[in-house]
Amino acid sequence: MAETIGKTGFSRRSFLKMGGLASAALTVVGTGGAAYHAGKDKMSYTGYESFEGEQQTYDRKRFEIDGPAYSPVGKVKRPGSFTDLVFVRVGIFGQKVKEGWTPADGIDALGEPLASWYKEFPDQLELDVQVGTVTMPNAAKDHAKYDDYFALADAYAWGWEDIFAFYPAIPTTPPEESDYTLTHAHPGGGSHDSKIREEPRPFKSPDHAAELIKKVAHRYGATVVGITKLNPDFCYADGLRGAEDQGPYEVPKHWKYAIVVGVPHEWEQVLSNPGHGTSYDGYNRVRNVSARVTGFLKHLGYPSRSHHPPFHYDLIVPPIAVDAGIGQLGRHGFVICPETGSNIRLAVITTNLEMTIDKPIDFGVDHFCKDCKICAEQCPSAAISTAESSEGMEIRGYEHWHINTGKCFNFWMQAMGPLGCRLCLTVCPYSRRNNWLHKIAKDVDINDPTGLVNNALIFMQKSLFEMPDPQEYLRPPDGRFAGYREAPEWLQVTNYLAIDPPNPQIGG
Amino acid sequence: MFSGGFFWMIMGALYVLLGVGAPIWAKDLGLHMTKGKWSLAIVWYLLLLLTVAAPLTALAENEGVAAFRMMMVLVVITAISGAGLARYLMHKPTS
Repeated sequence: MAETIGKTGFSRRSFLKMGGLASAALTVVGTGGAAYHAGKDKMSYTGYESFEGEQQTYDRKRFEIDGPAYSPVGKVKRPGSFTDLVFVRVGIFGQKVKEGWTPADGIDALGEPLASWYKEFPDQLELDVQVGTVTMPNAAKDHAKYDDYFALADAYAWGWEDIFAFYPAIPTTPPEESDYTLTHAHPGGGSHDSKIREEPRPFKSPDHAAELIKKVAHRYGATVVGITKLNPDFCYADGLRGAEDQGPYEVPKHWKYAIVVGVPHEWEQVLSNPGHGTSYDGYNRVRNVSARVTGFLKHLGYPSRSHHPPFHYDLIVPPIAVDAGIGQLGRHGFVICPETGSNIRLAVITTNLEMTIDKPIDFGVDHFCKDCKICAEQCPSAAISTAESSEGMEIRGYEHWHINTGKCFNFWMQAMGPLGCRLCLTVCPYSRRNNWLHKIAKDVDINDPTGLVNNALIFMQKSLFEMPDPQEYLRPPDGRFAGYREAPEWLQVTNYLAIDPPNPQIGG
Repeated sequence: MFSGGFFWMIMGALYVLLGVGAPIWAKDLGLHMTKGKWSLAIVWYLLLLLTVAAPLTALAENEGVAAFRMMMVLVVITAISGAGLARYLMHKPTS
């Protein structure tokens, strides 16, 4: 009788038994609800709104490797800013065409440095000719027909982009001058320049300097921060910003260290690449972080220069980011970082402030990229190599995956919406939000030395998740300007605007 | 509703109730549970939770097709393993 509760005759044992049964059902329902919530939760948009360093979640110490991330395998050659940087190259080439150059004039008539470069990469000349003769005329027609359909995505992207013209200012003097100059903004408008302090404020130690720079960079909005010594091999060989002579130059002596900062793109929009995505949100945010860190350093008396998107660089960023332990280089040429995968936009600040540097990390990306190939299979321009490994792909003395920039750029110009493609960073299985499902998958994969989880995840990615046929990304009639996923509802024009434009993505 | 401290407090209480009620069920059903058998039961229960949770998270991420395929695979695995586990737990040695 001691077990009965009140006058009901319902025993404690029966209560526990029935309660246990009900709990079994309720916990399943509750877990389901929590799981659904996790999938919707905006807090899983890793790093999009920075939480002052709390989004750099991976303990990189566990994955650190000794020694440099890259070792030369041949004669090292610094990249050419007028040739290897596709945007600049195509711009210069387009100007030559405007001035009257035709293929009949021969490569030499293009002048240096284009002539030598195209002789080394003759297939790129054909592709660059195609930009002006086929891709851009087609793009003009497509924009006339379909721009309304992408109106919100365009407007959203331009909202980010339009301040590019104002901040941060492009250096107009050589690094020996501009890196030592502070630009003070006046609250009422205008600005004035002054030299940085002659005696920099001393730090207690390189450890303190690195710690503070990272804390400050996170507070300025960086999702990830890493520090390395600058390898001059990764600085452009020419086109130094602010220098009168745009030819070859010596890397400035005060560019001893590189601080690498990164932020991801917005997580809903990034899935709708190419059509409804944009680079400009990531570009805008990371260049702001980079400019702020530069200002911070200069105010303490340390010369510094920001190298940031879209193409305001005196160096190539990915290998420097790899050196700084931000992540590893993927098959698609982007850095894959543990927190945000390939969805990361980077900038670099060069300075002479002595800081403790980070080590490169290895969390299994090389192995994963060898087996995965999703970016290469999805790339509509076949610009990404499908080779089994990057062995033998020597580029300017270093071995890494080869990207055909000419092919990439032709599709880049063809894609509708706010310019560009970004499909490779979107489809990368590492580019997933930070909810329990993807975090467990990533954690288990990173900690599995056998490679079995790696293979299982790639199999699941390919067999469970839908992916458009690469052809579908192309312009009609070959394709339908498909996005990897549908545009987020807030970028679909028919949801908000009183227009009903033709929709190329329906296909058929 | 499905997040926050209060939700997980309730969930915790329910898990405790489940933990207390399960041995009573086992006893009433005449199951001779050992540590090994309890471990198997717990693993299966976690699999059941995964069967519900993984597709729902994928669904909420707008990956409806992946959610459906995931659910089909997991339901089959959970059903087969559940039937096997039930047979094993209810099996009574003849001697």
